[in-house]
Amino acid sequence: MGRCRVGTIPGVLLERLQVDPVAFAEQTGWELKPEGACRAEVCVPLPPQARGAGGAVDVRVVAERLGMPLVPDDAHGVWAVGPATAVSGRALPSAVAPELVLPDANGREFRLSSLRGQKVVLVAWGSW
Amino acid sequence: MWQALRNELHGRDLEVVTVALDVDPEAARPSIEEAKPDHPSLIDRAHLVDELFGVVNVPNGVWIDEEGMIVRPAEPAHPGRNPLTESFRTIDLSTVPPDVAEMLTEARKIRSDPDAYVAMLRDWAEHGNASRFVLAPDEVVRRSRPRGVDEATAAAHFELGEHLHSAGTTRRRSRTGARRTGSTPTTGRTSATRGTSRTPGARDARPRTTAAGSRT
Repeated sequence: MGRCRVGTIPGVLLERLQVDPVAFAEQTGWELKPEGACRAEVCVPLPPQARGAGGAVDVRVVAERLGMPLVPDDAHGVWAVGPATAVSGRALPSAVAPELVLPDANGREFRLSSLRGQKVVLVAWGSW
Repeated sequence: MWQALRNELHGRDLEVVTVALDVDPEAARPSIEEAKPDHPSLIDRAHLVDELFGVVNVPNGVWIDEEGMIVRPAEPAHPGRNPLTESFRTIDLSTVPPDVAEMLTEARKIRSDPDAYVAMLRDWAEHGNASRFVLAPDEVVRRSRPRGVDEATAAAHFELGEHLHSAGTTRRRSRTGARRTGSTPTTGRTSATRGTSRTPGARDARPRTTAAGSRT
């Protein structure tokens, strides 16, 4: 009821398939390093053509390697990129906890990594 | 809710972080302010925890150890008994009508999930990574929610639909929406920060008219 949407993972929209690697990392969580595309300490090697002129990311090449569905909407000139499926076939590419940055009820930013050194039980709940 | 358990376990270096999956922070704020928690109480409008941790339902708990390793992936989580369920367990059955007494007797036989989850947390606080409830990394990944191509494709289609809907093109939304799988329950959502960003490109490539390799 209401606008709850648990368990639906967001996709990413792109207007071009050659994108700045920093922007690609911010949107998808996958950083391009010399070892390949990396997230949560998992790295997937990439072919040379994954990086284009000026260091731009060729999204088609990277999406292929990571098993990210790439869905075009030709009429509107956008693509939607789904999350990676080729790494573990699971929501978690590895057991390394990703960074989580979220605001509290007062809008102050909190980083999960600030609790390193303690055990953490992260509890997701909904008030609906 | 979680504050009492947190009080008990915080002395053993265990912190509780709650994440409210409300689209509207104002919907979550009253509950949080009433609880006056000492622990981090966060609001996740874009449902980052769904994608990052595989949260699929609420309430779900994820365990992360001191080194930042997930040792239990997202699973149902309960903070323990509340006064209502506690009264079911402790009420003197001679004081209630026979049919109610019978029902409560049966209810008391059912294994209590709230007790089990709290027991697991206490064991982890006590024994750390020696706890039998701590899972190895491979097992953590294996037990996390499956994310196959169908679901990922549905996520991409959903994103298109949302984008086009908010851009006023309802015709296309109904088409992309129809291709979602049944595994993504949704009644629609308000704007999510990740949906419509524009990414700078190194060169001004025009969109191709042929399918760019979508997988189903």
